Amino acid sequence: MSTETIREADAATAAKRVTRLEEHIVEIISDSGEGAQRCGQSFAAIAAKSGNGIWTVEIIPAEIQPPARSIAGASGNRIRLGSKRITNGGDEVDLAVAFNEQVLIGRVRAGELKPGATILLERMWRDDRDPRIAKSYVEAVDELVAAGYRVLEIPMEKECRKLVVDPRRGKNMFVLGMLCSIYSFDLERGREQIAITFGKKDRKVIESNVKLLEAGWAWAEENLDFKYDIPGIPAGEAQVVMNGNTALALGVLASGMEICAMYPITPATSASHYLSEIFERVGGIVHQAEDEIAAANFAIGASYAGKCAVTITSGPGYSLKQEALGLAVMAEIPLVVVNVQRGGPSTGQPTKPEQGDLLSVIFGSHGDAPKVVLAVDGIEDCFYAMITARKIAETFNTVVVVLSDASLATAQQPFARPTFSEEWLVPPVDQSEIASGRSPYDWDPLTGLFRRFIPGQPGGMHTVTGLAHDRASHVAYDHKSNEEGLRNRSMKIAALQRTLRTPEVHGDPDGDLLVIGWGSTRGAIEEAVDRLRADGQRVSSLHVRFIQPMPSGIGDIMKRFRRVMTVESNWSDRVGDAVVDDENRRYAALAMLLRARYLVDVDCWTEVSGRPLKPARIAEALRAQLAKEVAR
Amino acid sequence: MTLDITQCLLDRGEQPRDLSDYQSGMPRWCDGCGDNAILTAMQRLCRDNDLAPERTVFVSGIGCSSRLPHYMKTYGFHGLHGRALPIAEGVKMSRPDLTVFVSTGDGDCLSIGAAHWIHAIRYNMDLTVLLHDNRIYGLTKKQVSPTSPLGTKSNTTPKGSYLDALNPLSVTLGVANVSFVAQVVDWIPEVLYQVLSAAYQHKGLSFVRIIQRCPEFMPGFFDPYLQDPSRTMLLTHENGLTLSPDIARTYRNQRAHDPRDLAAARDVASLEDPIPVGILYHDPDAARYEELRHAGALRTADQVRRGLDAELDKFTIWPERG
Amino acid sequence: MDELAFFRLTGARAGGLGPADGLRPALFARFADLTALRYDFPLVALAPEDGSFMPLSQIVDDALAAAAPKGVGGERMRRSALRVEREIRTMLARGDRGDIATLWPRAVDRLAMRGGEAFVLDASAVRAAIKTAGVLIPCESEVGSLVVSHIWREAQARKATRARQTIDALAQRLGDLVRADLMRSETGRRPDALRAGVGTRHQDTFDFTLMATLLSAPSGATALTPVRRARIERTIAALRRQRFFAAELPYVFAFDRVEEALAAYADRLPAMAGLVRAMSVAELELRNAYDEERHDEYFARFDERSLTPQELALFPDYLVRLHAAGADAAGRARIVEGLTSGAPLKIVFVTDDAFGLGAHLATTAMGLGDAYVVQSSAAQLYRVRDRIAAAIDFAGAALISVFAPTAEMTALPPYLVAGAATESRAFPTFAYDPAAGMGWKERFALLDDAAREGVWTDHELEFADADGRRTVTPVSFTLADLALADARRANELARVPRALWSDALVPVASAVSVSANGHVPFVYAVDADAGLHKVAIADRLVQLTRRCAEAWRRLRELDDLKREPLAAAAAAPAPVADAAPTVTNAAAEAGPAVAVAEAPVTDEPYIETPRCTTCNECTNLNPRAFAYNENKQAFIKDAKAASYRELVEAAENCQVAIIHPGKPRDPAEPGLDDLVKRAESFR
Repeated sequence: MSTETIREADAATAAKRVTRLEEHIVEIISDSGEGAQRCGQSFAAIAAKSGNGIWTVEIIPAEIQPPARSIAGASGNRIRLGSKRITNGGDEVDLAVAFNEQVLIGRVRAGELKPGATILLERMWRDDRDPRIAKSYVEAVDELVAAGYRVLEIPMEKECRKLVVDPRRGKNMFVLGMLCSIYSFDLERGREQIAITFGKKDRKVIESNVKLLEAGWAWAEENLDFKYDIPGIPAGEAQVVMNGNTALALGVLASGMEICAMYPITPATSASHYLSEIFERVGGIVHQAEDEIAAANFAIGASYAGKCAVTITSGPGYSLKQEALGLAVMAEIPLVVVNVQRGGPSTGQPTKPEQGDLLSVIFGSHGDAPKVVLAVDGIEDCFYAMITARKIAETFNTVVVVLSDASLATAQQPFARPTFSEEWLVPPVDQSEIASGRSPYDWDPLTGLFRRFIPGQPGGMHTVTGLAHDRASHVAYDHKSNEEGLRNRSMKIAALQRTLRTPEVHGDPDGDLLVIGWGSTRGAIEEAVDRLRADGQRVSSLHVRFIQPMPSGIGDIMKRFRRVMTVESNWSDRVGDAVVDDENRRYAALAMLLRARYLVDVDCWTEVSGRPLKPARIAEALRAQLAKEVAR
Repeated sequence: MTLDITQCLLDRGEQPRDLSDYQSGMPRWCDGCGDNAILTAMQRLCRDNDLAPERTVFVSGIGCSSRLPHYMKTYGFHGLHGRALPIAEGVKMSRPDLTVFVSTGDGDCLSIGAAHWIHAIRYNMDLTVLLHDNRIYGLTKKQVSPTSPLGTKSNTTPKGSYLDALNPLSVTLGVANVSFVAQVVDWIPEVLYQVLSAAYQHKGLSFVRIIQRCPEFMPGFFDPYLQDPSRTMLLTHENGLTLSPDIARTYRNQRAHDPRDLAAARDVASLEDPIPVGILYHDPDAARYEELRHAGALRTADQVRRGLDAELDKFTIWPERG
Repeated sequence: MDELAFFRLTGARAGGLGPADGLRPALFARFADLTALRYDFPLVALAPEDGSFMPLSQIVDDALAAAAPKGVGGERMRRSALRVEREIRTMLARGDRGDIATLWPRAVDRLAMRGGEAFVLDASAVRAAIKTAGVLIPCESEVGSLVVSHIWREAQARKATRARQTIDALAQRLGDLVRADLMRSETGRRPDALRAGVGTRHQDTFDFTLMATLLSAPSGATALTPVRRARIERTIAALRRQRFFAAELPYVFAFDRVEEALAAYADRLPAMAGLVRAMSVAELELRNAYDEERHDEYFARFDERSLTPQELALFPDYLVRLHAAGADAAGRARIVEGLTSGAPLKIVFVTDDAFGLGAHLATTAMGLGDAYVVQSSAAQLYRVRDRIAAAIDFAGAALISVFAPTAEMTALPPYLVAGAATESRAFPTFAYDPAAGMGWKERFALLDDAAREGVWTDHELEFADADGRRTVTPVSFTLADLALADARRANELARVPRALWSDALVPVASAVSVSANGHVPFVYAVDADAGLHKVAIADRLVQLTRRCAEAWRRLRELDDLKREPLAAAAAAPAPVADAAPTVTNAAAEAGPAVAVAEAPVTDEPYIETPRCTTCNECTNLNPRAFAYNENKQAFIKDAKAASYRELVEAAENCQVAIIHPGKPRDPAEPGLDDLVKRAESFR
């Protein structure tokens, strides 16, 4: 098949065919600074407004300013849009728009494009003055065509130059126009979106961008012989579209917490950026401490003196905070810690998602330091988890760690607009007098719970300490006091566990295979399960939010399935490797926990590709697992 | 603000507190340990300023010095090695209405906590910081500290320490936004008390290095200074320290030094022998971080609701009407 | 001659003596047209953030500094702006009123004809550069009350904001007490409350009924008693109810009659007491310091009599605007009553009477001692604005007495006459601040520096004499000269025809200082065509002029107290050093030179207690003999309880060597010789 180089001349003859679709994945990539990001976000917003379910994934180059036209330099946005609610980034791309062939090749080599995918490619490079560029362009196009992709070369810059002086900057809105035409969106929505995105700028900017949008639309209408239609149902209630870190920051605000102490670290920082922007208006403070350790201790001091505070970080920062968290556990001071996981160990892959911190979070800090660990399973959850975490932390005088990861940090998804409740807020600092005869650690024999004495409460004076202590908070060297403390701090967690409801099974309550997951992978896992179920496979899945403590009933659920496995994005030894066997295999984090707790032979499938897990890859793994079963 | 009548009712209400109202437990420090003198001075300070025990917090790190909060009948936070300052900052930021003191040692503050020390000076929050400097690690049984003099024999330096001592005063005086720096010795209680009071009165972070005896691991180290008053140089000034006749009689080695003069303060800081004692530097106008950040601002639930809704609006897709 | 003497005594004009109508003080000749002059007025009343007032001229200069380009264009723009400014003065003099926004364009329109295109462009450019807006206040009879009212309004606004913040904060924190109590209580732990507390999406994640039972762990904190809760809720209501600092005041605080202001104040006192009571209860509650035993009774009897100045100062001040018209003897009595009533009345008294009692009201008020007093002529108002502000902020009553000429007094430009009132010593500028100190020295300040040394201000008068030769003669500007600017003084003045000019006519200044018989005092005057005249003065006016001179001398003497050499001040007791070891006088001398007590010489054992470092050595050695004082520093409680050996060992163990064993008490104690030797080093 030869490339369809489209010339205006042929346009008239091009006959439109409109294809109806359930869903599609679109990717817009460019050198950074060319506006593919903005184009993608705007397109996603238009889709959402048109009633489509969406999930967007940012494509971010590792470096701040990668060289132009470099394979690793792709910057842009992937939008998965569909008729139904979309819960994850999906598999490979159906339609890609690239501003140059190099960034595109990078994506192709990464296996991000579906075989035969449609590619809209800026054609200007073909006639580039620099023969080497022209050459590499031609070669690339030939290679892509040879590989079976449908490449449409488009004179984007040429068309834009008709309207603006600096077409390199305007291109992205031209593309937006094209996409609106291709996906049969109302152009008016495009105009609205531009008005919103450039709202702060003056009219001129908006007008020229609208011109480009319309040009792109017109060009596609005339010159492209295909159109897609993904029918959507506009939501009946108000929706918000935001990424996970934004939701997280808003959650902090809504929880009534007043102090966030942090230190810059990717990919957590953007949450703190946004919080810094909005927090002061509601009397909150974001403190950028001198280091991660200071941030943790600052937050502990703030919590101790009154209201629960939060510290936001990522893996390396979390490691540094471990000692401080031990103190909070020992002194039983409420604290919320957010860990937006990234690739590890050490500095690892700062911008890439991974679920590698679960065990260090649960068992980290020396000695027995029980704390509460919960993992958010989507964008909306990022918002509500902060409110719940704060409530649990203060009700149980405990450290609550909230696990998110790089994939949720930047991914966008619409969810129902939250309605504020005053009950979310931290109660006012208790300054009432302490009755005589009370001691600061009046552990309840049944639950290990007690009421904190807060500075300002007359009669409550005592010195909290990280040393082993008795009920009066006096340093204690005797074994009885030490054990009493350990016992109560642990019992407290058991008490919380009692209140946790068993999570619901996705699919039938029994069957051949139960897939258990946690965190950001929920959408992908459930989609994979649904695909298999559609093929008549007896597969179900279970997603745990509270991992420490873990709700009861999970054991019973597992019993109802012939086989149980976890799907996670952290390392587990590959069974195929020669030196790996059942004796020495290192299992994925959650698998290890389940095996240890329930004495069930839980298997696991994990992938640490630095990308969100794809439903297709999971489905593949589940099929393999089922095949194994048959084999036995 | 407090109304006159309220104040008068309060004053009539309480009978004056005495030291025992601030004493808790029996100090476990060695006999002759300088910490005893510091504790006494702090209890006097609380009594003489009639500090409400429930509104006073002593924060400390780890080490002999950091046991001090346990012996005060106030709120206390005996934290982690080196981390007293960040904890104290957190307390002050969330509760500017509390009076916060920090007790930290030469190892705690100048070694493992060095980063926090430098930045605490820069934040200049309203904290009174007592650096208990006995120039040795005591609780871990004698290792050199950053302020141990060159050649100090210890369990980690049996042949004597290799490096010159770090000078906490000149380092502190080199940090931007420094606002109060003083040095005292534990064996002149009257001056110790005077300087600590001045530090407490100062609004902002007051850093007081208290040179202190460790009879256990630095026995006799300061004897020459104890026996020869001329090896202690008292800094006097109308903006600084003023001496009672008794003290003036014993310590005749005095120098007039204006605490507003940073350059002069840096000169004084570099003196080792005689030991300069008094207020080296005082700038009452240095910016205070908690004030810049409007700590303690009252917020209402409605404020939060409005703040949240305003933000949500930016991300909202409203259902299409009609 | 005769008619002159006759006039002087009787004030009746006979013979050649004519009325002084149409004559002005000779020194006014210079100021034919004031609108050309760029003086303080008109003032522009500004918003608080821009400072209270600014002269129009300054605003225009600032605008020019911002807008005018360098070079010719800039110069032209400057001239255009000044023309507009002058036009505005003219319009104001004609009675137009308004703010810059309205008057500037109107002035431009009026000049546009002659000015042309360029002028209009310049003018609008400058207008654009004027960032401040505000009403223009020309110098006229109303200026006094306008300026004071403006300053008063701003001060009240500031006060209200501060008070509102305090009160709202108290109310909110009290609310927190109740809410915290609720959260702590059973209700706060009910399942539904717990459910509402978690993220909406997690409301099925927990079994809240079970959680509620687990959380029923007892709380250490004491719950609010019903009585206390009720009291707190009452207090919150009272704080929210207050009517003194509402966004828009339901009460009026500006009056035109002293008695109305006083009545209003008295009428509101109970409400004020109620609010203060609520605030105080709130402060106690927030400290957990409300003691029902003691405080219930106190607050039950709490009323306006319980209020201290500090609390009264929280509340708005009452502005009273009076005009001389109302200031008869009875009126003045009411003013004095107002100033001594203890109510925070800020009385602005405007008079056009520079000769009568109006001129003495301020000095009378100073005598009362506890009212803040400012006196100024309209011309000086801008220069004393800070003093006026201080008078308004002063916690107590204040009188601001302003001289401003009226139409009834003169047709001359008010600013000129007002300035003359100051110049002539008829209405000196001064302030009296009871809060500044105990004596006149601290409290009183004379603010006229112009030739303050002399009795009168001296000038030179240049004129053409009979033979047309230009001559210059020194003249003083006196009260009598001012009389020429007051129509109501006409019958005390008589124009003297040149025929009668003789040595018998003496300048009024010298006539006042030395009363010589046969002499007739006169002042110089000019007519519309700048012709020079001598005007004879009747005795009655001479008397007033003399009294005026004496009044001025007294004020200067008061002011001179300030200028006394410091030696006198040194006599005053030195300030006492405060608790904190900060500033004391001793400090300066502190140093080796200082005289110091010598050590006691005694055979009794003793401890230098102030130097004790609380090391526990001696108290552990023998707790009966050695003890700690209230500062936890050692002293010898009972010397008899210790053997000499113990005393010596304590001395040896003491690291700061402050224990002195003295001489052995029991000669029989074994090993004394050795001990005495060892004790040597502790003598």
